[in-house]
Amino acid sequence: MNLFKNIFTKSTPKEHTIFIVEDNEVYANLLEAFLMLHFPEIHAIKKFTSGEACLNESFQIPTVIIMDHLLNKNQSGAATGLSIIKKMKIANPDLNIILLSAQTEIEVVSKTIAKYGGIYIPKNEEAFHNIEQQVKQFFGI
Amino acid sequence: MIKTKPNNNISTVCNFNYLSELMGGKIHLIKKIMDTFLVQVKEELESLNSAITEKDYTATKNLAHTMKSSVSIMGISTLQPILKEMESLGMETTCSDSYRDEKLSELNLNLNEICKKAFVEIENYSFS
Repeated sequence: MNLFKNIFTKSTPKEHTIFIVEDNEVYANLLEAFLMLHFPEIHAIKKFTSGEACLNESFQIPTVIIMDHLLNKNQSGAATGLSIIKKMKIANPDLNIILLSAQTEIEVVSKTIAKYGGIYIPKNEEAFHNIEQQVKQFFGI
Repeated sequence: MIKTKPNNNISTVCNFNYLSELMGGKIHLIKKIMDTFLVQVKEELESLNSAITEKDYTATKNLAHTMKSSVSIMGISTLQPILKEMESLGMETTCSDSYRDEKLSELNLNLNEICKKAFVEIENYSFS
């Protein structure tokens, strides 16, 4: 009986890959667990602590890249999320990118990211809800 | 699965409602985040103490910025204005260094005291 049930139950294909670029390990782990919990469609989540490391692997074309703007916790002169996004979008304009930032004066960044076809989400209490809604759109759910 | 109560106890500094909600109340996920938090924030606090002693304002600004996101996950709302001010002071160029150092030391004392309480609360958190 269970065999037939398993055969005829429609399972969700795990086809999506997400890249998280975040140098705050607590935030990255929380985001990873949150996404895995809410999206059974996710095949894999890869985490990077620098934009440069993500850029090197962006040829894999993930469904979504979620990137923090300030990635200088470990390295003062590290490239910002925005500068990495510009490079990625030039190489592949179809990449779905979400830029996160805890900065309050972010108007310029949010306008610039919009120009490059990315989505800006402020790192506040609504951030995870907003990320969930945006990822749903990218997954076509 | 756990259900957290509203933070009515004014002597506590953490409020785990946000974390619990995001993790769907799943204990193993909450515990993993708490463990990462304890290791990371203890290290960051140590680095911040050194940055302030060494008057490294860039490091002070960067560390305060990172800690702001981490402490919000544990609902430590009393630390938000402190870290925000430390971040601003790290970027400040108009005030004198002596004022900035004095203010940063004062804020850092409060930060250390609240973090110490938070670490104890997280380490002793009961999932029952």
